[in-house]
Amino acid sequence: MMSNKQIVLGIGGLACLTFMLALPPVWSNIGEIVKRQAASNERLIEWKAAYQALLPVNQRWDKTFISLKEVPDQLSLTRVVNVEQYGLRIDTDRVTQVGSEEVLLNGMPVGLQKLCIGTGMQGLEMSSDNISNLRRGMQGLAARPDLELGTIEYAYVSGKDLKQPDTYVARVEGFCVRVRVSNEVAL
Amino acid sequence: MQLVSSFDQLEEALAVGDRTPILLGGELVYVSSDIDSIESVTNAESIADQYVQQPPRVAARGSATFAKDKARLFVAVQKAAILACSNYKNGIYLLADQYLAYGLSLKTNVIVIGGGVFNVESLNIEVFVFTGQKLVKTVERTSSNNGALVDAALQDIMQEFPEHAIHWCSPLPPPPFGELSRRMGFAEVGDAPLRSLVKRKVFSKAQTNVEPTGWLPAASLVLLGGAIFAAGAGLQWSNLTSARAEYKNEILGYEEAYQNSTQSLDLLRHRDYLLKTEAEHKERVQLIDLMLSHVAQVDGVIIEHIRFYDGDAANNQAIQSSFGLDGQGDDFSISIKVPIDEAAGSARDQAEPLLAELTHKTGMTIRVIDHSQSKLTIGKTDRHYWNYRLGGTTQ
Repeated sequence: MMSNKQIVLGIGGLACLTFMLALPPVWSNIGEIVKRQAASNERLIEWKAAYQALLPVNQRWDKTFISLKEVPDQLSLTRVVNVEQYGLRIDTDRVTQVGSEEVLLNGMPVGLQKLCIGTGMQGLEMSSDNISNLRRGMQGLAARPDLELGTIEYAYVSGKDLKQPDTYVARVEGFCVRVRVSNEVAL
Repeated sequence: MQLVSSFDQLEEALAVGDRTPILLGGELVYVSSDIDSIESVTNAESIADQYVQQPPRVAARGSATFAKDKARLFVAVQKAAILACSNYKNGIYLLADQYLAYGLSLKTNVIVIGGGVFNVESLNIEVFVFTGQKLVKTVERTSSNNGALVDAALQDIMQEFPEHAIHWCSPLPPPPFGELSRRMGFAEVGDAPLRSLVKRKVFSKAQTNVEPTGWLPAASLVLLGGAIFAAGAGLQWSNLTSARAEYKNEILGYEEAYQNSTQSLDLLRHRDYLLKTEAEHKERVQLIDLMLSHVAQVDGVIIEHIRFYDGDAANNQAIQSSFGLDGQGDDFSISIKVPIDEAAGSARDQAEPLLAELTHKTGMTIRVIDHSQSKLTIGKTDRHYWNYRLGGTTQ
């Protein structure tokens, strides 16, 4: 038989021990959650770093492509293309919109729409007085990132029958302008 | 160190103002190992107010401490002495505590005899008997400093514990010669018990003799355990809170984008790629240019058209039919007029060297799809031409 003091101390010690033994599972349980949160944090930080590194892309994007809102009709579209700056001529009255399509990369939309124009059955026709101007003009057009050109034809049209000077003509099938459409996914 | 056995001695010691510790003993302190005996002293009418009960001391060591009826030393101190010493700053000790500690430390069965000089000739002898590291008996005797009288005073103890060693301690004067001092195991240890003093607080209010149940230590143990648990859990919890705060902090402003984290990242990557990649039509324009520059060098050639197909259109019959062609799988189509050279032979014969040269210069594979003849009248002259339709692939 133990003395009162020993019994009381024993109970106290037992309670103390119980508390201390209760700690490890609580510690590891919360610890697990902390670990998961830490892993989640790491993923977030990694993603954020990659994202921030790529954000300047959006600025270049906005500069390269005009917004859809700015080209409500084919006239404004033609003006945006502005073949004249390359020394080419185009009959604006004959320009019509032949289609529009979403631009996909690897099957994923990138926030671009392509608006295609033509001047008749054989795509978009542009002309110039001499072949070198035509070639130079076409090279200028080809360098633009906001245009898509499909099949290209250079042809010589004799003006003899129409009592007009000879012209050199470039016909582009699938001549499309890429425009930005609003896309809420990116910031 | 000053040892006092009576109130007068105490007053004197205090008056001297010597800054050494004072040890109380003699009539100032009543000790007993028996609870009834001390209670009779402290409860007695006449001197009830005079002695103040002190907390009992544990009088056992080693395994004996856990015995059920623990050995204890009960102590009471004269009230007047306590009051007199209350302001003394250099330490008030009880002689009994020193003898007790000494006896327990010896581990052997021993009788510790200590005490002091009461007055000139009278010795105040305090006896502590230790058996098996436990205090079993205390007695207090008075005697003159004479061997025979001392023997007489302590005879019963001697007989009761014949095998025990005897240690004679300060502040008793050197032991008188007698049977006691001649006994086996007798040793004069002097101030050995007083070398390192045991300090116990001297209470001016009576303390209980009942052993405390130790609620306080037990409660502190529980609190300690609770505190450890709370601290540990709290620490982990704060780790979690700070980790969550870090998340909230990092995602600020990017919630929408992160919701479709892969997509928003992919979108940017795709855009980056698109901006970096050269348009496919650039090559086409270069090829048509190349072809044009070489075809134009053919003597007298009239180029009607040169057409290079878009990759998708090369196999697309609908597109080709709009151009009126049937060169399936061809990357390009050319329509030229070449002046007929009579010497060369048939249309095909004339075409052969032409094609060979073009093929060589452009690096493309060219063949004649069909040919016909035509006539152009310029002024008054008629010119005859072969009309060739050519097709081929860029590789």
